Amino acid sequence: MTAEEIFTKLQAGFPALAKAEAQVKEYPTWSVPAGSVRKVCEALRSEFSFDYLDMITAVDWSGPVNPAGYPAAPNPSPYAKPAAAPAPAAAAGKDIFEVIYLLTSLSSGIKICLRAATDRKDPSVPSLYGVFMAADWQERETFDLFGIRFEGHPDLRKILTPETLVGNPLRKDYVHIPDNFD
Amino acid sequence: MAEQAPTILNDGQMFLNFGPQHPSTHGVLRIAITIEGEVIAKAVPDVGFLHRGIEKLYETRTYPQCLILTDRLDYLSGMTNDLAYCLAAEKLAGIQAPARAQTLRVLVCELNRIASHLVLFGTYGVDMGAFTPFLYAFREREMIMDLFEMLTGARLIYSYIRIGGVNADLPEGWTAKCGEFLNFFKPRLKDYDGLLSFNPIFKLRTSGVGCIPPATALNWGLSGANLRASGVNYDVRKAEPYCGYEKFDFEIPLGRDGSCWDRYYCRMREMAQSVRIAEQCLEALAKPELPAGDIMAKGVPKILKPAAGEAYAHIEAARGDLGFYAVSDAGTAPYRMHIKAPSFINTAVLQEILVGCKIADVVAILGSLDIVLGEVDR
Repeated sequence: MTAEEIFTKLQAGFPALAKAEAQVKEYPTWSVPAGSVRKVCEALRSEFSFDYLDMITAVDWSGPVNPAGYPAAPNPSPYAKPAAAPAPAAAAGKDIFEVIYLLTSLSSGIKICLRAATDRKDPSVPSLYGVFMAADWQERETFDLFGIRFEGHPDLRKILTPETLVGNPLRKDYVHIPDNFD
Repeated sequence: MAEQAPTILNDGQMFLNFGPQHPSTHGVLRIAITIEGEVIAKAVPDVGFLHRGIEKLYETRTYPQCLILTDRLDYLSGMTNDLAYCLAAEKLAGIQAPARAQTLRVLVCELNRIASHLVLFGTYGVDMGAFTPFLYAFREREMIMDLFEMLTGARLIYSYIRIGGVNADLPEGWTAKCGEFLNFFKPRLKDYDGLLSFNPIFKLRTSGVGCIPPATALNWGLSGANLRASGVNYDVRKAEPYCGYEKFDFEIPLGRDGSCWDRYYCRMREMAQSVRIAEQCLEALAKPELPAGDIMAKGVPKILKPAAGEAYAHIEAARGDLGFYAVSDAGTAPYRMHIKAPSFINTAVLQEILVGCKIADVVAILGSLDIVLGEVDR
C-alpha cells in the first residue's frame, strides 16, 4: 500500500484530513485538525501498521525570532554585508503553532508527516500518550519549550528548562529575563 | 528539571535519589527512585541539568555557525552529529556532496562509532566493577583520536563535515596510519570478549537483566543498538541509506531478548561491522573514480540562504536514530531547527523498565542504554 492509498482510505473516516500546503521534503505531509490528531494516529497505528513514532515537535509561525534580550548576541559574521537586512519571513505573521508528527511503518517502510495547527492564544492538541509511549517525553519537551498543552497527558510537566524559568523559550516572542545564572 | 508532585510513600517504601552527581550516570541525570526492600516500585528520570537551549541558539546564527553548536550535542561522536545536521541543511538547500566527500563522511563516522562504542565498553566495565577493560578501550580510542587530530586538528569537537562536503582531504600518510589501526584493532575485539563480554561475573550481572521486549522498544521509540538488541531489525543505514551506505557490504547485528548484555554485545559486534565499512572506504578512496581534492560541492555560498521550506534528515548515529528537522524562511538563519535526539528518547524508557528491577541493577540498565547527557538535554 502506498502513502497515497493510505491517505484516500484514511480520508473516508476523517474528511478534514488534507494534503498540507507546506510539505516536508520527501515526506508525504498531511494536515490534520488539532482535535482529531489522536484518532488519526490510532487509526494509522491499528489499520496501517504505523508502529514507530519518529518525532514530535512544533513550529511557531508568528515570525522571525527577536534576538533582543539574549545574554550573548551571535558573533557578527565577517562575510555578512552590514546593510543586509534579514529576508522577510515567508510565512511570518501567522498566529499559530503547528505541531509536527513524523510516523514510520517499519514493515512497509512508509514515512509520513502529520501537522496540526493550533491557536497561539490557547494552544492545545490531544496527547498521543498511550498510543505511542514515545510521545511521553517529546510532548513534555514541546510543552516545556512552546507551552502547548497536550490534553490527556498524565504527567505534563516541564522537562528541560529549570523550574524557575518563566515563559517558553522556543516561542518567537520569548524575551529572556536575566537571572542569577547569566 | 521540573518540580515534581510529592512522592507518597507506602509502608515499607523508601525514597532514593540516584544522581545527579553519581559517577555511574555518566553525566548529570537524576533518577528519583521509590524502593520496597530491594525492588524498585517507581522510577522517575529527571533530565535538563545540561540544557543549553541549542535549538533556540540556532535561530540567531547562520547555517555554518550552527555547526559549532552541533558538535557539542553528543560529544562522544561529534562526526555523526555534524553529518546529520549537514544532511538536513543540504536537503533544505538542494546541495549534493561529491562522491569522495560522502565516502570520507562514512569513513569518519564509522571510526567515530568505534570510538564511541569503545567508551561504552570501557565505562560499562567500570560500572560493573571491572576496571581493566577501561584501559584497553581508551588505548584504542586514543588511536582514533590521533587519527582525527591528524585529519581535523581537533580531538573531540571536529566540525569536519561541512555543508556541501568535508573540510579537508586526507593528509599524507593518513591512509596508511588508518589501515594500521584497523589491522591492530580487529584482533582486539576477540580480546574484549575474553576480558569482559564472556566474563562469568559480568554475564551474571547483565544477561537477563533489564529486558525490553520488541513491542515495548518500538512503542517507546527506542533506536540504535537499544532497539536492535530487542530483535527489531531497523537501522537507518539499511532502511534509508544516505551517503552511499547502500554500496557497502555490512551486516546489522541483532540481539535476542533485549537484555543489558544483548545491548552491550550488539555494540561490540557493531564495531566489527564498522571496521569492515572503514576498510571498504579506504579501498574506495584509493581508486581514481574518487579523485583526491573533490571534497566540496561547487557553489556553496558562505552565507547559505535555502529557499523557504522544510526538510528532515536522519542518520544512524552511535546512539541511535539522530534526526534534524529544519525549517527555512529563506533567511540566513534556520527559522526552526529541531533535534530528534536518540539519547533523550532512550532515557524515557527507564521509567518503565526499571520498575520491578533490583536497586543494584539500576547502574547496569542505565549503562547499557548508552546515553550521553549532552544530547539528552541539548
